[in-house]
Amino acid sequence: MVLFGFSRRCKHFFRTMKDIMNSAVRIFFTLVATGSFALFALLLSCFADITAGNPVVLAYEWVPALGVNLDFYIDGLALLFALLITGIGGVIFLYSAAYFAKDKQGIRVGIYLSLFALSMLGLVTADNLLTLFVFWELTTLTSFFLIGTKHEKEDARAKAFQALIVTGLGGLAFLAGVILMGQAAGTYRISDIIEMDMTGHALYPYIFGLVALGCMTKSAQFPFHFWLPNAMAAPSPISAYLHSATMVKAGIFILARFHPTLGGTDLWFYTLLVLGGVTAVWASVLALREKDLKLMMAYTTLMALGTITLYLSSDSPASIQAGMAFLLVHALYKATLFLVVGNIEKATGTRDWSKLSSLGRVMPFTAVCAGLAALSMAGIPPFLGFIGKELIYKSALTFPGFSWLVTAQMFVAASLMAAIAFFVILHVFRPAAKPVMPVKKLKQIPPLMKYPYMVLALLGLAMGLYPAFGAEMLTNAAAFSILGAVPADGMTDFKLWHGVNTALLLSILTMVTALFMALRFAQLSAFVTRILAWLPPGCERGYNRCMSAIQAFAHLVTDILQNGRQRFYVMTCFATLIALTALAYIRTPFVPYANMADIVAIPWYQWMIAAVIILGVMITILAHGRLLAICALGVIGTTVAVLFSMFGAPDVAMTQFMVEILVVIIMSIVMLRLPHFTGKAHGSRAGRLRDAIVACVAGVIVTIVMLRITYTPFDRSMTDYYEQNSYVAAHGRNIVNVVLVDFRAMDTLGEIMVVAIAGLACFALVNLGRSKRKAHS
Amino acid sequence: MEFLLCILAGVLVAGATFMMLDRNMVKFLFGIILLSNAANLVIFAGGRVVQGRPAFIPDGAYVPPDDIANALPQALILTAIVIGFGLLSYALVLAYRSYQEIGTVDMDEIGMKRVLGDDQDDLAHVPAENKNQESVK
Amino acid sequence: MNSVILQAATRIALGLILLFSLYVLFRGHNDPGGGFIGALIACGGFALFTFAYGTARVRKALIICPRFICMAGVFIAMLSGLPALFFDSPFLTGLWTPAYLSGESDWPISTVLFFDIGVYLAVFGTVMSILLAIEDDA
Repeated sequence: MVLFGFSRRCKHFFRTMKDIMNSAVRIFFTLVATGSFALFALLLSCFADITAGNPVVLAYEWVPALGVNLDFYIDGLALLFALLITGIGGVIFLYSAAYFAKDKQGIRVGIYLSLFALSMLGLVTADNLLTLFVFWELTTLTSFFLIGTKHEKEDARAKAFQALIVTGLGGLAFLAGVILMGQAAGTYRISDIIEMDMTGHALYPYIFGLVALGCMTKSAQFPFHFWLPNAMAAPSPISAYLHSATMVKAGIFILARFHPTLGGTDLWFYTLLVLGGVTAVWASVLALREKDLKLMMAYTTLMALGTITLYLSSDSPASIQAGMAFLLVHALYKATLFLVVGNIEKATGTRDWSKLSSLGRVMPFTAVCAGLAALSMAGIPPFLGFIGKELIYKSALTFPGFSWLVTAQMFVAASLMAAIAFFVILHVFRPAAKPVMPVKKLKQIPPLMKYPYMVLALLGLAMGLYPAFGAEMLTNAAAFSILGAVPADGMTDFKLWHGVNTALLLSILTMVTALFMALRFAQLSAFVTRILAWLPPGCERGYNRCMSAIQAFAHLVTDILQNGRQRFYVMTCFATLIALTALAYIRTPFVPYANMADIVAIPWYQWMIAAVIILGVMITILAHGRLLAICALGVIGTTVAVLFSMFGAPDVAMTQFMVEILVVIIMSIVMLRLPHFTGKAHGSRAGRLRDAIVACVAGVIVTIVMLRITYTPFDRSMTDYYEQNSYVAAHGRNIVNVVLVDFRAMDTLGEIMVVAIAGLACFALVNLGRSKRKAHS
Repeated sequence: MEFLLCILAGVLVAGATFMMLDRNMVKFLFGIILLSNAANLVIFAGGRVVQGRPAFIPDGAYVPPDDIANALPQALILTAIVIGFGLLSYALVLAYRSYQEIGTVDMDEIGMKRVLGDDQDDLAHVPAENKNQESVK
Repeated sequence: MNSVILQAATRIALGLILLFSLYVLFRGHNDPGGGFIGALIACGGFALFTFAYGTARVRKALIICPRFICMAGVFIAMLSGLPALFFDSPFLTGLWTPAYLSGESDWPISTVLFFDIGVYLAVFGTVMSILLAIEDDA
């Protein structure tokens, strides 16, 4: 019997292995998952060191000139996030291996997802403000691609774009904040900055405002909360990873990271308190409205994010600890629930709770996971969720200044969340007499989508039963990094039983309320929907209005500037050049540009040469025949060559001369094939006058600028260096050539590349025309 | 000495600007040639000039005599001339090809065609290509 | 243009012009000249040849496609920068043969010479391919 069981297990195991290996997508995801778990193990090995207060530091110089270093710094806070990212990440990668197995985009998603995981890991461990920002932007970018996974759907693209715009704009604000912070601190090293207190700095309000704006958009706090539910356009495992455990917590991470530097002021306190509180309550109300289970989860995620933000507003050890504990708790159960929703959708094809019931009968395994996670979410003992909620109530009761308000808020939010958790268990999974879906219609869930994530659900239970083992150390290590030191009176212990106190009574009250609401959920949902319909349209409408206004403005500008008329472009360029230069010269004091003695000293033959060039220009402009104009151009070029040779530049003169010959040759070849132009050259008489004036002003401006430049003293140091070293170091007597092939060889290399590309482009253009004509004939 | 070069640069720029504002594409190309000459003169004058003393180190000497021509702008101009030639050839071929495609050398007319959407011939192949891509998927 | 006199004159002229262009290339380091000028002179010669004989004969005379010459030029110029890396110097630092440096030999064999040859070939190839492309399209 035992043997039989074992062999069946073996068979099952091998089938699972075969399952894993039979597609490239699976292999890819499995490899990434392995890597993720390896990193998780590596981080765990540093666990003892870091929780003891010795952060791990890795350094690597990246752009030393700009002070950008690839330094990494893992303290308790970073460790908590990094463990969540790698641990939950590994589980989700395994899940995705099955989820995307038959998806053509599987590999693409896998690459983005692993890139995302790496940038997220970089974000939480970076020790340089600019590196931090780069990782921050990378998470924005990769999440854009991930949300838009189903890019063939217009709706998904629009939603991905919305997330990109909102978080990207926040990212810009964050960049500005980060640079201000670095300038104010005099260093970009985060581990140094968090030792400082910047609250007294003159720039503090700006730094805080910009950084907070970045965090609020990233973590979807009110009034930017609308993008997160929209981002549910992504497949479930992606939502589970990005929108429960990692990306949306990046904003929270930044707030926590800079809590020692920027926190502790009224500005910090009230901003976070109000925004976090409003988000938490508003999101949990909105969650009731949704029929889509995944959207429901998204709103409860918002509620959690709001709560953590709220708790980061204060600097009391109790509330920081509560915030971090809740972060851990939430990540565990929410990732599980998202994956549960993924399974439900995969099996039944819908996420609408009104169409689902008694799934526990047909999907017992998923039901167990869902039950474990939901109980943790509801905060039932002995789950970790209960401990989290106890801590939240306990610190809400002692919250500085606003204990009654925070307690009330938390009570509302926690009851609604628990109600949703109960409702999921009671309505969706509880085996009822008659399942809505016939069993045969259900699709099979592959094993990889069942077993791995159960670990997450079980962890919620295990950590609740043995809180002192993992959860407490991790939470406290993170809290200590935020607080800067271990508080004198220590932290609250993680225990299931603290004795009868107000927090426990509140918990019991919450349970009762939640149970009541869960039983009347349909009515409650309808009621909320009706109330919400009365309210004015929300923040998303504002966002849409902004977007269409920007688009209208862009259309307007494009219509004016990009009207397709070359002459208009040329005119704009020259007019702008003239205007800017003239402006610069009006603002500088007048100096004489040339003295009479110099002008008189110019010999007569140089005047003659100048006269030839001016005459050439006149002829080119006035000539009716093209050959005459080309000849005049040739004369101009050759005369310029003469000028060069006269002023001690034989190399340049020779080059100019040869090029002039070639220009005349190819000009004549091409010109002979172009038709005569018969229209008015400048549109009209007035147009001609206008163009002439612009041209003359441009010429005068150039002359004035040149006179001004040549009149100022000249710094010859670079030429002096070349002259001194041309023979001694570079063994050449022709200094111009030595500059070209030795001192500035890199420039020359670039230049011959440009020339080569121009040649290839000419060839390609001509050939394109030829092949096109061949196709026509 | 630089005075003359500055005047010449101004004259060349004025001529170039006037021709680049011409409706005739051929004149526009002439304008480009004048402009690149002007640019070379500007660099040359900016490096200051001396008369008749090229930048060479005489045989037997290790360093050049004092007050010779400035070698650096010369090197810059030398490459600029060749690049200018590449640019001009490309512009020439482009002008020629656009005449072949559009059938006119009138700059304003080309612009109007673009605005009025006369280039449907060029855009017609875009959706077709997309269709192909989708069918490949 | 099928002028017999032009064709006959061109043959001689082209040889002389090419010789001169190579002379200008190699003396460039110490006297007026160098890769850019040499290449342009050679192009002038071939332009003349094109007028006299037409593009087909030019392509035949060149043997190698001008676009290839231009790419080869860029490539040689790049390669000439590599040896410096083995002597712990930055890319494109000039290196000379020890014999030349110690004065034993008058041949200035160096990486910069190869660099200049690369410039010569790149410019020559480019200008020729432009010239031939335009002339061909008649």
